Amino acid sequence: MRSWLDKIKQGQLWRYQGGVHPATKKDNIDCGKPETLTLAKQLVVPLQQHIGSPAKVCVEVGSTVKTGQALTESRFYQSPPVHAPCCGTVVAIEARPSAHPSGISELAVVIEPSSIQNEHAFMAPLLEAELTPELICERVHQAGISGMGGAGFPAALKISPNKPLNVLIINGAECEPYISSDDCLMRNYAEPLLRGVSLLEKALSPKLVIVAVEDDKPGAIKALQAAAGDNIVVRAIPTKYPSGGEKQLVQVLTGRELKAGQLPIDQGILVHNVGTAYAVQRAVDHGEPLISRIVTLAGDHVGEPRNYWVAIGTPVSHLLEQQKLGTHHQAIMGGSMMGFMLPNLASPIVKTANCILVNNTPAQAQEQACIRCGECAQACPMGLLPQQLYWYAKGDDLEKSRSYKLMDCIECGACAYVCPSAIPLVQYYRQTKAKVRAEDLLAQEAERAKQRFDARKLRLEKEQAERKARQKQAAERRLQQAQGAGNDPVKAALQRMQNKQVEIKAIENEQGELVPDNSAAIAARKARKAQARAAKDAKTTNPAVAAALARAKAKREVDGEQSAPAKSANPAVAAAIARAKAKRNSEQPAEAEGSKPATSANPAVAAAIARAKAKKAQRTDASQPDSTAAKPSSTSSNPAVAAAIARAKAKKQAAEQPSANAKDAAVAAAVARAKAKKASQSEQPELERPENDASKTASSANPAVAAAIARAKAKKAQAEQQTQGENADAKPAKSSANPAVAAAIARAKAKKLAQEQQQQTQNEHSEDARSVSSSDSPVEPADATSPPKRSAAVAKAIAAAKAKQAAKAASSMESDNDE
Amino acid sequence: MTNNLLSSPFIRKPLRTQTLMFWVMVCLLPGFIAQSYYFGIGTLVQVLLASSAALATETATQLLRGRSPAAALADNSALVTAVLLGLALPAYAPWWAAVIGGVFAIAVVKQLYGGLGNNLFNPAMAAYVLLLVSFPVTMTSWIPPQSLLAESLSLSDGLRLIFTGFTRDGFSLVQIASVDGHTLATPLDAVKTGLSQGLMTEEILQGAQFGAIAGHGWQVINLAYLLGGCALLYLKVIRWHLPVAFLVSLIVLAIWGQLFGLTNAAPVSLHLLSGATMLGAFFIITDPVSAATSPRGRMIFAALIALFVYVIRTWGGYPDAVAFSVLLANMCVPMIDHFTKTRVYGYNVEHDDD
Ligand code: SF4
Ligand code: SF4
Repeated sequence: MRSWLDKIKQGQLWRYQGGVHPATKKDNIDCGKPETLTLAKQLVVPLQQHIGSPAKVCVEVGSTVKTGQALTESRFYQSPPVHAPCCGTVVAIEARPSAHPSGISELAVVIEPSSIQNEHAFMAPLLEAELTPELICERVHQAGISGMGGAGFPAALKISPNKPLNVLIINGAECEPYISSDDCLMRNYAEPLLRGVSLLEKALSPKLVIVAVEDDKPGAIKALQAAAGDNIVVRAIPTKYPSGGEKQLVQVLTGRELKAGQLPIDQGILVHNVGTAYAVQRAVDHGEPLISRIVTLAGDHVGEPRNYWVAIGTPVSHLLEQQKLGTHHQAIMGGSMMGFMLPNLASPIVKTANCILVNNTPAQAQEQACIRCGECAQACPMGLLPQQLYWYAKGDDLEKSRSYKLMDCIECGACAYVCPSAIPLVQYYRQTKAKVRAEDLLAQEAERAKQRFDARKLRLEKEQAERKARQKQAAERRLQQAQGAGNDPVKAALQRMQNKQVEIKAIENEQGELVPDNSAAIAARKARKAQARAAKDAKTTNPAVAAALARAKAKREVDGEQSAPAKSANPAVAAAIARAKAKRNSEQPAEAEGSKPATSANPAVAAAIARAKAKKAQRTDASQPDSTAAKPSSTSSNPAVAAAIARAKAKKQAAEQPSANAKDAAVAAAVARAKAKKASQSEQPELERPENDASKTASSANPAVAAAIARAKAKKAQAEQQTQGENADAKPAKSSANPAVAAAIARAKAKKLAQEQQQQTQNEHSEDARSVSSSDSPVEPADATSPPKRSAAVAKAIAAAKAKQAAKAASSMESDNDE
Repeated sequence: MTNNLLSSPFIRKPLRTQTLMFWVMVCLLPGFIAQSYYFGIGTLVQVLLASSAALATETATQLLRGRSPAAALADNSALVTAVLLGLALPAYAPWWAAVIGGVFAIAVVKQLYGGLGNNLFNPAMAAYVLLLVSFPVTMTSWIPPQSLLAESLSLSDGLRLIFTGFTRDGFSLVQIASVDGHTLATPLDAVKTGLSQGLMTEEILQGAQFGAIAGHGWQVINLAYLLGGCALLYLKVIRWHLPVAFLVSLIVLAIWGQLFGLTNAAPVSLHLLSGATMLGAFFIITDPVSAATSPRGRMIFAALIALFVYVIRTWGGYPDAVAFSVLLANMCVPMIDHFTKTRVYGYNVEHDDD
């Protein structure tokens, strides 16, 4: 390691393959002290000028701003703020054409400069004595500094590495033709620049600091060398494009080749642009954020090519006016090798804009056939075979493109530069890369889904084990309670609820994570289990029956309720389940606190919790007209919660006075539901309440909700009139053409029968026995009431019922065994 | 304005394909002049014939494929193919040979494979081989250099010979090509025949057709092509890998043959300066389309051609072998490319010091 650093120190340089030597065209560009460009009539400061996420706007239209005042704020280093480049008024915060090849509009703060520019809102300069790496980092972030050479990587992120740093490289190579803004900076601001370098050094404590400058900039090298202390090495490197590329520069200076996918820091190397170093100095020593930069204005049409200090946000057209260039010209932002043509001259100068080129519009040279001359391969600094990549790009062969390492192409344009057939190779690569990325995204999603499924399977297995354990416990408890409490029916019911709670908890967990598309797989898995248990039914091969089996199983596990929602990824369903769960918690205050899904981010779930709380309050404190129901929700601004409260209130009112004055439709609906519930509660205090509650999802346009409501209705009817449920059932079903409703009815019927059965067999049985027996039912093909067009859902429901029967047969055997 | 946005880079090296092709033709001039000097008007006629046929075919095929002929003609590649074919044909081969060759090279070898850049084989050489296989006698009837002829061939005689097969006086090509009743073959021919007759190489080299270094006339022609080739290298139209690898391999093989005393080994000088050696080294095997891709691959490709050339010249049935060898090597290109893939930056990295 030592020897490696020594070699670098001694001035050894390495070579990289490929590269080209385009005419630099820098000779006639004035690199004297840059003139500060006058302010344009309007400055457009895009909110995002960096890779990373945008920060939050903290000014409003109409507010007056001072030079350097932050326009956005963020605590996160990946989103450095932007600042007002001048005093003035914010006249708009709107989408404006961005400095992007697509010309896409991006959110920007538009500032109209005031006539007097005498105020600024700079931060306080940091004192030498108090400088710490953390402080510098924070300041760099606050000053909105992002990489000024290339992609605009937030600088603060880059100078807070968690890996040891060997070499800090300050990139002043500036290898692209025409661009001389860094040259200008190095020549005229060598001292503050090097001060910035030492600040970076302080923040990073590298073993070695190198400022690299291409040897076609003797002026800059001399200026830097004169100003540099002992600890900073100024190194001239051979002029070759693209030596300024990060990978190439690292190779030239250190001989290190970054492995594919590696960042320089992985090898203890970090590269910063000279512009960044200077900006750091301004920020630390003057408190000045990054609000202006040096921009080269050059090209065939520019009479006096030169550099300017340009306020960030200045429209490019304003810059062109300085050289009496009209808007009929096409301007290139960035260099001639890697820049892009601006679709709109109103686009602003951003932090990364180092050069504006106004060249003769190059006649679109006619693309000729690739003659496989191999020039491109010799030019490619990445060792790629551009002609092969071109071949595969043209043929849309993504597989081959990948295997020829298209994704490692740095889009330097060296290949296209040398191509004698004038093939716009880079353009081909960009398009193909986009396709490859799209493909990758798809693959990633599939992989993630698979991982989720696997993780879930594991978790479910674990949960099942836990459940078994809990069941055992519950059984013991029941035994004790039964001994202690005798045959008190209330206690028995409570116990049942307890059991149920255990069951539903599992489902809630299942649904707590909304998994898009493996419900079928889960159903299949459940079906397998169900089959395993109900071994007699093993001969069923119909997939519909399998699905039904799955449902049957699910139903058995959750005491017959929620099975339809369980196979759905619908958030509304999740919410319903959560509500069910929450409600049960409310009925069992002892456990309510622990099992509250407090971490859930789903507003619907939150709403459900709120509702459950409301209900709980209502229940526990039924006699008090002003219950604390509204309390938990009063702290929440969530409309869903509000709705829930409304519902809860309505329910309460309904409990006292059926014709409550409903203020809005939601409340009215809630009242209606509450009534239904009340009716059912009056008959069946404990059973099925969660399910009724499930019907309370907001939008009745949702088939799942419709189904739930239908179920609730069915159940109510069933509760009132157990012996002649058919009549009641038939009604909603007939009125509805919705297959889901039909299915629900089918299920309701099944359930009713199950309940009849359940009343016969006492609940003292073990969980399994109970749940199984509750879910079994004979089914008349009578489902008859189903709409003329009998849908798959109905068929499934029938199958489910059948399966349930089978399961019942099996489980009754089990329960026999249990006893 | 926004529609015709160009993609980076916005500057290009001025060297364009048509320019490259143009320079190739310019650099063929010395060789062409030398060849014309020794063989008269025939060479020019062959070049013109092949060119007209090739350009006409290129235009026709482009039209048939619904593309603009102008664009295809503009890259000069068809012209280069035709010129190379014309130079490779015997100077007084009948006119239809050049025409068939030109049409075949463009229509079948190039366009049927998808046009410029897609052809597997070198069009000029494929056409040459087609003709050689179809009309072996015609294609090997090189007349001796003018200076060796009993009576020099007049301009009109030359044209008659090409278009009618006979001179004004009724002599056929074969009759003209013989001196004192003996057919004077090309130097390589002579060596081959001589060796087969049991003569020693030294004896054969005493023959009239051999000059100071190699074949009379041929040595000058080859040197002229060498000159043109150096110009190409200088102009950076071609890179050194192909010609250097080819010539070095040929030299090594020839020396090896001599050292091991192969009975039928021709001397190094003869290999280098007779037949199509130099034309091949700088102008034929350097056809980028049908050559291997990477520099390393190209060196292997060139060495392979040299090997084929040496083998065929030494043991094969045909006196010269550049055309065959090029085609054979063309067939190996996909394999060569596969095994000479360049190392992409960032893959299989080894650091010597960590
Ligand atoms: S430089 Fe252009 S013509 Fe030559 S091989 Fe590459 S892509 Fe083909
Ligand atoms: S653009 Fe890509 S393929 Fe072309 S030279 Fe640069 S890295 Fe190589």
